Amino acid sequence: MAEALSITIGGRTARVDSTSPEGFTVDGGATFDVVYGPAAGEVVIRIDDRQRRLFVARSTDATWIFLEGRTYVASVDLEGAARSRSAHGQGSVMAPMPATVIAVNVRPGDVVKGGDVLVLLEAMKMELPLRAGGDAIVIAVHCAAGDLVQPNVALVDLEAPRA
Amino acid sequence: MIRRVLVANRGEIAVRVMRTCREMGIETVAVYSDADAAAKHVRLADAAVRIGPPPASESYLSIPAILDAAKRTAADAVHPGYGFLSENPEFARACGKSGLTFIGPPPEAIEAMGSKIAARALMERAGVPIVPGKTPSDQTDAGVLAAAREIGFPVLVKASAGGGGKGMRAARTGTELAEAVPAARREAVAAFGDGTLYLERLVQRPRHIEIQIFADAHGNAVHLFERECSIQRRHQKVIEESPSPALVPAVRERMGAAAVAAALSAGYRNAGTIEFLLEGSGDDAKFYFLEMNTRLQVEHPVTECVTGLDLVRAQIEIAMGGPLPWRQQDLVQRGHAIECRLYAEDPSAGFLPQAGPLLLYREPSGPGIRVDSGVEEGTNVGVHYDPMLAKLIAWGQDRNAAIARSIEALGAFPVLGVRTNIEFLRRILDHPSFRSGDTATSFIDEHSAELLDAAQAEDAIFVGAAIAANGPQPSSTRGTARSIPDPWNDVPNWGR
Repeated sequence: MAEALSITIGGRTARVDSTSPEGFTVDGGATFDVVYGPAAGEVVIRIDDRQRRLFVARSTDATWIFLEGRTYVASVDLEGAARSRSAHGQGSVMAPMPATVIAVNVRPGDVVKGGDVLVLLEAMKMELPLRAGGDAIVIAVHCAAGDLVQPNVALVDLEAPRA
Repeated sequence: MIRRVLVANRGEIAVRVMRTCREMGIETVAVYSDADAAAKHVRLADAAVRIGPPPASESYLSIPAILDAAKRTAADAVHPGYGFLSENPEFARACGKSGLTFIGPPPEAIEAMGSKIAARALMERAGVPIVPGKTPSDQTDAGVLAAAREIGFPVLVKASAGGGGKGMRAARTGTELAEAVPAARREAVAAFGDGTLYLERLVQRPRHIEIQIFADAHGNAVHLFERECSIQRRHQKVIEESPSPALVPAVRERMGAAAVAAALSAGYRNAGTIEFLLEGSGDDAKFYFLEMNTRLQVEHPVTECVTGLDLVRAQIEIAMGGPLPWRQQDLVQRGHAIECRLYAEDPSAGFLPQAGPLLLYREPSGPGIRVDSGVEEGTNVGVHYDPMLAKLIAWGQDRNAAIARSIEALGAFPVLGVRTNIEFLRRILDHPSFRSGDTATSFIDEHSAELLDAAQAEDAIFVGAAIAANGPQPSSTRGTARSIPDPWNDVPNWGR
């Protein structure tokens, strides 16, 4: 059967093992029995004579779960496998979603303060200001007004201010 | 006689208008931008015409492109839906000049109500109470500030040209106003092509209550009772209901009469909504005219559910010159209806709009449940338009029954692939203050901590993640928890 999975949802990480195609345990606890529904993505899980209906889906970069009105996004790793994280360090400001750049307020070399608006984006008719998380120096700008930008791509690189 | 209607809109409202047209034996024409080539509203129509690239300014807001589509398909009427060109008097006028019946009010009425100054003056003459406010004659930053001081803080800054909350901002001080004005102006230009700003006094802890009216070409007007739309975020409505828990019969009657008087004095025709702010509740409640929306509202299904009527059908009949299908004394509010707007947005990240493919999307059903939507499983939610996915309308014999039905149906409305406000909506409905009817437009801000508190994932969620990520392949007679591919990936030449 499949390898153990290390799954992180919100602030909690747990190990999930499959004991059979229809059985799973979480952190070595009691077994959940799984019944697959006729439509893709719908499953019922049973434990202690109680059953609950779940909906699940997976895209290339996230695993999604819906249970009784609550939606969760999980990150799933093979146990022990170190997966590369974001392509950019914490010193980069990125778009949270596909958007159009309305204005770029900084240039390389600028000293910015926490809260300063670095780039102004627009998406779905709303303005989205991207602000500096803390005091910093701008080391590079990768976008210009009018650009259509994608999420998880660095728009502005920052470094800590010199003491 | 109307035989073929072009629906100058997209998404759920286009789908909803087409349904009634088909029931009436009227053919439908869809228009679409390149982003919507395979959308539900396009596939449901009898004919469909491409009108431009994804940006609304080059497609759904392009009057020449839409008139050309109507001409090419020999449509004889246009339904504008809400948003886009629905409150643009030039569009209504251009339709008339092209020999098309505009299913809505006359351009003069749109113009009168679209100008907040003219609308307020009209309301004042009709005896309807109004909130202090003005459009500064000097539209510079300094001029707007001076006007705000005259009216008195806190003030609301709005786009003079439009409704729907686009470009609207609150300012409590001159400093806040200085920050709000340039952004409000930009959003006003982007949404309406007109950056003129309007200022008004912010009424404290108001409820948003609106009256649905209808008027015909023969001098008759009726109201279809109220909708309370106090639950808003960023000045956009999230939950609407009818009746309002704050209205006693006497106040409801006064508001209805004021709304009808306002419609008649404006020479209004077709469906319209008079929005009021309500201060207080019970017999002492005071109401102030806010604005008139000269179109069908997003939340019209709430009224349809409690009155049992089809508002789009009435719009079409009135546009054909017919008399109002109802007399005031025939209209009743029966039971209670609640509408929840499902948005692709992340409530925990400041309601940031979300984009992406709907990997899984299943609408609930059941007694008293109605879902109006323009998306389906596999739809790619884009960045070009409003992030509303669907409206869930629940009807029950009373308010508690409607709340219970709404909560239950939202719990059976899985949407995966983009973050949504489903859990947020359920928490509002389940909140003691909402249940007791203690709602104001500040509700979400007042209770945001409880509404947004993140729930810790329980073991069952981890099992779901494991099934999705690395689950077994069940036998062929059963479904599988596989991922659903983005259909765009399989359709290389589909014009994205």
